[in-house]
Amino acid sequence: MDILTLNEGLNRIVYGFPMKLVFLLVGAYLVIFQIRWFSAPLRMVRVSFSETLGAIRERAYGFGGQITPFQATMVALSATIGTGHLLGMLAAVLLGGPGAVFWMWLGYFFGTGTKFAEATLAVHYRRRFADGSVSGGPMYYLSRGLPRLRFLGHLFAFFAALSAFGIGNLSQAGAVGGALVPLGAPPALVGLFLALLVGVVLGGGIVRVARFAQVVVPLKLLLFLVAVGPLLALYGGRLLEALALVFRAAFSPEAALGGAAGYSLFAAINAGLGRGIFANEAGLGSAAIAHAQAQVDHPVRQGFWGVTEMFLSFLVTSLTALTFIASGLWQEGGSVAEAAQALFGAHPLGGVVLALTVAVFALGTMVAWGFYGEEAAAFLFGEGIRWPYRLTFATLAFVGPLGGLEAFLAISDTLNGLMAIPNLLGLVLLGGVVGRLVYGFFRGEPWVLPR
Amino acid sequence: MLSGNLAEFPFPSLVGALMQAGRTGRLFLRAPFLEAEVYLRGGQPLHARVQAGGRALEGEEALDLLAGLRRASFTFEPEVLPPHTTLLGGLAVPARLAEAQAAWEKLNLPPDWGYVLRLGPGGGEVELPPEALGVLAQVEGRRIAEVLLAPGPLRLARVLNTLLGLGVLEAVPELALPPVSLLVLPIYGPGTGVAYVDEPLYAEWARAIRHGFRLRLNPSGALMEVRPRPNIPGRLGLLEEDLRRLRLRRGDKVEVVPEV
Repeated sequence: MDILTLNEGLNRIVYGFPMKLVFLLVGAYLVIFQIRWFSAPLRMVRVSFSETLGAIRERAYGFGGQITPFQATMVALSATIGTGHLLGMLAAVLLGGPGAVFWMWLGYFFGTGTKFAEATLAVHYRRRFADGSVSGGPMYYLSRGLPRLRFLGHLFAFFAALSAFGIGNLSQAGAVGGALVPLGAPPALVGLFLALLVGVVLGGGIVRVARFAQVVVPLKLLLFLVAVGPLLALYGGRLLEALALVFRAAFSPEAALGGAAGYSLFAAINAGLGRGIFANEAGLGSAAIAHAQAQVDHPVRQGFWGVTEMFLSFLVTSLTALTFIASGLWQEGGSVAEAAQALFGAHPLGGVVLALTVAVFALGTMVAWGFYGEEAAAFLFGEGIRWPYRLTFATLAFVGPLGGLEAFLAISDTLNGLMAIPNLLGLVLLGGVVGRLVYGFFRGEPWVLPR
Repeated sequence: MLSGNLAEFPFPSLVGALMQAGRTGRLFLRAPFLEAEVYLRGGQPLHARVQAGGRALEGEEALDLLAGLRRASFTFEPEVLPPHTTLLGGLAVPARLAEAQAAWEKLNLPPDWGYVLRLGPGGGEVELPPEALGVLAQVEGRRIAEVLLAPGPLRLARVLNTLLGLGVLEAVPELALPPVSLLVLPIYGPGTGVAYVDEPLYAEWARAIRHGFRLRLNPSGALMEVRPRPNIPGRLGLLEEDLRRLRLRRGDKVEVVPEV
């Protein structure tokens, strides 16, 4: 068996349906038994908004650290809101029908608990250095929170450091190239621009990455609104109908869409859960690396920023899906690229707006993933690895738009999925810590650092 | 030059030692809000003077007051002669000092005479003699040192001691701390009336005040118990119930001033 066949088998496992159920169950366990969201659901929602969007005017005020909680969330969002929110969402509807959106929402709901736990644990178990800087993420909470299973932290860091080169770099750079080259930009020039940009931003450490994210995330959201806004206006009359279809097709797609459409319940659940899990990265543990950087008085406060991250991701995917369903284009089938061309063909700015949005989405993801990979590599090999890692990352950013390295991309995609295994196991084993932190937070107790 | 502090070397013992050594010179004492000097010639105290602000006491009454002073730095400058004589010298001085010291030992006034007197918080009824009422009418807002610097310091000290003991008056340090602007941070939990500030800020205030203190929130004017809390620089932690009561929300700017 060659390595690519092995990779293919592994890929099917880590992105397969049973694994999606594991994601869902871990999220449900955290939401119901540890965070106990349902014990006071309205209060939890109120506190979530008060702690995050309600605190937006203090975005410039930190708690004495390098970056503010808002900036940490911007870095996480910069990675999370990527091309999967646009093209991936269209693919999910094409594969699973409108009912997939309902299952995606279910994935989001329980994924919120997972993301909350990740952000909370990342702050709780992060490491502080003498210069005031911090490092954290699953590799730290796994190795510090589970000392007997320390290898899980190293395993996670290994997967994250390598997958950042592929899924976080090559495929994103490829997406930028794919979006800009048809507009007349030479691939080599796009590659050079990307290499310089990621080199300069990553070279400035977390402070520069955060400043970049603070600009690129609002730009992403603005571009998304520019891209989807006119389509929403165009198909607005059919949005309620689309919403009703989502619910009808969720449980009996054959009856709702007609048997000839070829959509099954399994296809809807599989495609929907896949989007609800992988679009927002909840369970993969990547965003926790960014959340760990936030200086807060209590880890649970950052956990709520994780919820907000999920909420924004939910809005983007849902609006994309509902617009697509309302347009009726999903019934025509075809490839994702064809569906995207058809959908944005009705936009006053045509395909240009899609190209720009995809390019900016991919660019933000790339820089944030560069930071994730660097942190993971530094955990494994020490501080000396940072610059070699940055230079390698910048070099691959140059290669991305030129194409090639498909085998490496396929392997890194599997490694990305593998990140979830140690992380989800750790979340289950450390669920009690999350529960205690949440309990203490709502009792007004100050945060006590782990021994 | 001889120097030290009355906390280690009480005033009656210090004067007694200078008298036994037959020294000539000026003993200069400096306490918060009070200065004093005692002149000796050949071991005989000939002049004593205490002053604070625009008020002064001389002679035996100054000695009575100085016998109760527990904290003050002192220096002795030899060969400085008195400007004039207000004490008779001889055995009368040590006798007077011993008598005053015995009287002061029965009293329990705060050691820092820079503390300001104000009416106590108690709401109970007390019956006061006319002399105490007369003193009470004049002391609010004044420092202990200023009150005692009047004819009959021992008598005034006894009256003050009674008023403080009954809780009619309380002595608090005078604060000159600038207001601090903080951002409101919700603290989720039960309880009310407690404000949390960052540990270093609390420690800074505690060092400056050296007394129990509360926090005045402006512009609402609410007075709250204050507690330290880690990792909240620039923030004022308020419990949910207080946020509702004070109509504040996360991120609001509030000026806070510690008060005793």
